[in-house]
Order: sequence, then C-alpha cells, then structure tokens
Amino acid sequence: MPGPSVSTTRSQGRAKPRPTDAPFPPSWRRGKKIIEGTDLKVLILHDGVDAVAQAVFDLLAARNGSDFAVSVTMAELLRAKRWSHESACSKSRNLLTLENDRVIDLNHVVTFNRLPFATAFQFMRSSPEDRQYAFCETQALLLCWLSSLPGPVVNSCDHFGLAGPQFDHFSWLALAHRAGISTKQLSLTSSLRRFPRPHLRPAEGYVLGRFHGELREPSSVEPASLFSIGGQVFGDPDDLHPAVAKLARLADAEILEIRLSRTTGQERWVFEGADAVPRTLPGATLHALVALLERKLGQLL
Amino acid sequence: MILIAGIPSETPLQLAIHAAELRGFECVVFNQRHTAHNDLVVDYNQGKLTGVLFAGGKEYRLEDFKGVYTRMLEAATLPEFQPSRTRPTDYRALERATFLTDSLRKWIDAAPCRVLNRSAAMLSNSSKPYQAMLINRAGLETPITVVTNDPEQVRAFLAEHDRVIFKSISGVRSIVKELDSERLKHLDKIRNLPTQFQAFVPGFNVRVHVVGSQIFATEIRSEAVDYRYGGRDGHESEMAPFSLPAQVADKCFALARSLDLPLCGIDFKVTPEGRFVCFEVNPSPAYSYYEEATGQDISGAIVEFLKG
Repeated sequence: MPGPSVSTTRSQGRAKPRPTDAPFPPSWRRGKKIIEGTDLKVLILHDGVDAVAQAVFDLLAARNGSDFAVSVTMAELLRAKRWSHESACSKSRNLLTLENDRVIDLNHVVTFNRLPFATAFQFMRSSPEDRQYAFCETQALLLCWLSSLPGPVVNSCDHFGLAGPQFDHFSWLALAHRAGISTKQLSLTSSLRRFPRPHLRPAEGYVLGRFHGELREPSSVEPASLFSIGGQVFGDPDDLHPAVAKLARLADAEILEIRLSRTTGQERWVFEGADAVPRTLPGATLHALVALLERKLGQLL
Repeated sequence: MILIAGIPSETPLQLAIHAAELRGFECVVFNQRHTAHNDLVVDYNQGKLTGVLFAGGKEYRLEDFKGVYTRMLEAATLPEFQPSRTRPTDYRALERATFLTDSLRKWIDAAPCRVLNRSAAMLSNSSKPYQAMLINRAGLETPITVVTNDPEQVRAFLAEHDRVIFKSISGVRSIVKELDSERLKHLDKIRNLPTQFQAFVPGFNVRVHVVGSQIFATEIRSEAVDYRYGGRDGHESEMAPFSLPAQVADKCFALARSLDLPLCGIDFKVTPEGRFVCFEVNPSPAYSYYEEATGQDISGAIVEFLKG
C-alpha cells in the first residue's frame, strides 16, 4: 500500500534545461483526477476535534453549496498520498492529493488554518528518541508546507507556531500593555525565601515548587471574552474595542480571542490571556469569520 | 555590564568572557551548572520588566544589563542530571534548575537590552526548507531542493541532477550525506518520514558570521561533503579569511535583520562560476572554531555589540 507522499521542491539555482514545450516538470503530469474550475474554494485545516472548524464548514456549505469547502484533519494531512510544491520557469503549482485520491489545487483556494502542533502518531511504537525525531521532522515539514501555500491563508504560520501568533505570556503582556489594556503583576521567583512576593498568589493551574514558582495577582471574579475577527471586534465591554483591535494588529492576528477579568464592582478590566485559535466562537463572530474568508477569495479572482 | 549565560567552559563563551576582560567590560557569568547556588526573580508590572539575578554570591539588577549573550542548554541535558549506576537523577534539583533556566530565558526574550539571540528568533532554524524561503526573500540563492517521502520522485530528481545530497528537514540528526548507489538501495525507508534532498552544489565553503554591523567571512577548503564532520571520514579542513563581495555582505546583513538574529553564522558554497549559494543560517554559531583557525576577532565583536 503506498505510504503518504509529501513533496515540495524549490528550484532556486541551476537545473538541467527542460523541453520548452513542457514548462512543468514531468512529475506534475503524474497527477490524476485533477479538479480544475470546480466549486471548491476553501480548505479548512484542523486537528479533528474542532467545533469552530465544523461550524465554519457548515456555514460555508449553507451559503455556497456542499462542494464549496473541504475539511482536512491533521491525521488526513499526514496520510495524504501526495503533497506537491514544485516551481520551475517562474511557474509554480501546489497540489494536495488526499488518501481518497481527491486532488485539491491549492493555487485556487483560501486556507483557514487551525492546525495545532504536529503529531507523530505513526511512530507510537517507536523508541522515545525516534518519536521525538519524527515529531521535529513533521513539525518542520508542516511549517514549510503551510508557508508555501500560494493562496490566502487565515491564521498563517510562522516559526512561533503553525496557526496564528503563539507568543509566550510575557510577550502577550507586553503587547496588551502597548495596546492600552491593563495587565496583572507577574513574578517568576526561584526562591520564595530570597525573593518573596507575599502580595501575589500561585498562577492558576500552576503547582508551586517547594521554594520557587510563578506568582500573579489574585484572580478576579468577573470574566469576559472579546473577539477580533479581521479587525472587527465583538463582545463586551465595548469601550475596550479600540484597544482590542490594536492588540490584534500588534500581534498580526486576523483572529484573536482576548480574555479579561475584573473584580465585581470595579471599573478596571485586566488582561488574562489571548488565543489565536479560540475553541469556541459566538454566533456573530462566526458569520464575521465566514465573511472574512469570502473576502479573501476576492484576492484570488 | 553584560551577562553571559550558559556553560562558561564552552569555547564560544570562554572567548567572549576573555574578550570582555581584555576590554575591561564588566561581565557577569551565569553558569548553568551552578543553578543550585544561583537565584532569580523576574517581575512584570504594567509594562515594566525588572528583576534580580543572584550569581557568584552577588545580586545584580536585571535592568542594569546592557546586553546578553546566551548559549543556555535545556537543564535536563546537563551532566549533573544524567542518571548513573551509583546515583539516580535528583528530580527536585532538576525541577528547580529547569524553572530557573526557563525563567531566565523568558526574561532574556522580553528584555529591552541587546540580546544574542532571543530564543523565539532562533526557531526559524527549526525547519530548513522554511528557513530557505526566508533566505530567498533576502535575495540570496538556495540549492534546488525536494522534500519528499516518495522514492520515485527522488529517482526522478536524481536523474535531473548529477549529484544529490540528503539531510533532515528539522536539523535534528542532520549530517549531510551524498545519495550514492549504496544508499539508493535503502531509498524505500523514506516512505516512513519525508527527507530533504538537494542538488549537490560544487565549489568551496564560506562561513559568514554577522555580529551586529560587523561581518567576518571565512573560506573553508575540504573534500568532505559536510566539512563540519569531515574528520569522521578522514578529511581535513583548511580555513582562511575571505573577502566577501559588498553585494553579498549587504544581503547577509539584511537576512540577519529580517530573522532578528544579530549574531548568526550563514553558510555558503561559492560555485566555480562565482555564485553564492546559501545553505542555512545558524542562530547559535560555534564561531570559536573559525576564530581560533583564522584569528578573526569575532568574540571581540560580540562583546562590543553587547556593550552598545
């Protein structure tokens, strides 16, 4: 049984000259059942258990027909028969051939990317060292492949992560502060004896070591979530909409959930965290996301 | 005052510490192997990052450091945490060392001072084909490459090029090898995991070190496919300073800036036609190997950059 096939080719440099009547390498002519000029316009990439990806797929299908979008999981991607990115003579072509022989011409789709970190499920019975190596190689492959997608990508990757900005908490705090959102105090101390911080508490979900730990201001009681979708902000409090939009711009995030909290009775909202791949999206934000994908399609036409 | 973090007996750090001492720069060394005797607190409060490092029996304010040179390893890889027959791993000590190293790294990544190099920026090297795209955007040529797990595609690629080499995509376990007739017999193994194949680029190697606004180019003459491991195959390397064309130097500076790597080692092959083909950008170069062979004062440039 043929295994998964993934290939990308970059032809920067000198190769043997090709016949002038064959602008594309011979390997491209091996592709079968190429879908040209079809209704397929949106590729949704996700980890397989993704309510947002499913909701976007359903909404796109309801608005544009069942063939408008295709949903591909991480596992299906890693089992794809053939990925191909080859460039020659200033032309390039990107094809994705799935296990069921369906071929997707990536040159003509918008990609909505919600892939988490790579997995190495095919190596579950290998040694830990081989599994770790396979994980690194798969992550590197996905990063390379996602970066080479020719059409517009919502939640594009960079070397921080596969889908959208994946900053550490300090970086998010700095960006939130620049955007004008209040932030909580945070301390990392290797010695509670030498460097005590009695006004702070262990961070939520963090197990304090015997003498060291991450400490934050106590959690506030009242939570809130705002969503920035393509520059539009949804959710309460609405007086923070400009700051949230600015944070999304600073983070270069087309989709961003910003979590806030405050103590009941207080005016001040403080930043708790941000997520470029939110696990849920309220109704209005979902429609805004689909509208964003449809706008991106305009860039292809 | 500058901070140098890692294992100070490692030659790149050793040379940097010596260069700082020669210039009379105040230099604080955070020795990763002494985490049991070091302490750290990092405080964030409304946009201000402050803290204190306790090292070598003294306290230093983090905000007083003008620059940081880091070559820290993961704490779990340090020799004192490897189990032996007579002594199991001290997991409590490992947990503390890991926390301290990670906390310092988080401060280094967010610190407003000069840093060689922030860990987030170094991640661009985690995928070689991805990094190659970034190198192309800086206007530099890269080798013809195919990443595949399809043996037929590899055979077609081999038919198109005289010689082909292969290596890993991520850089882990990456020693460059030539695809010869003996290795072709095992080609089907790539079905398990994609591998990177490149058309062999003839010519001699040049390593360029960028340190801020300074540049050092070194020519390496070796018969080995990968001169870094040439000794394993009995190949010697000869090194000498190299005069880099201004156009290539400008692109190297632009590349270092675009990757946010003020210190980096850029590997080239110079072909018989004089083309510069770039293979990779090393975000944590072991520059000492080249400095000791050629006398180029890369360590001096490092401490000058950190001092500002």
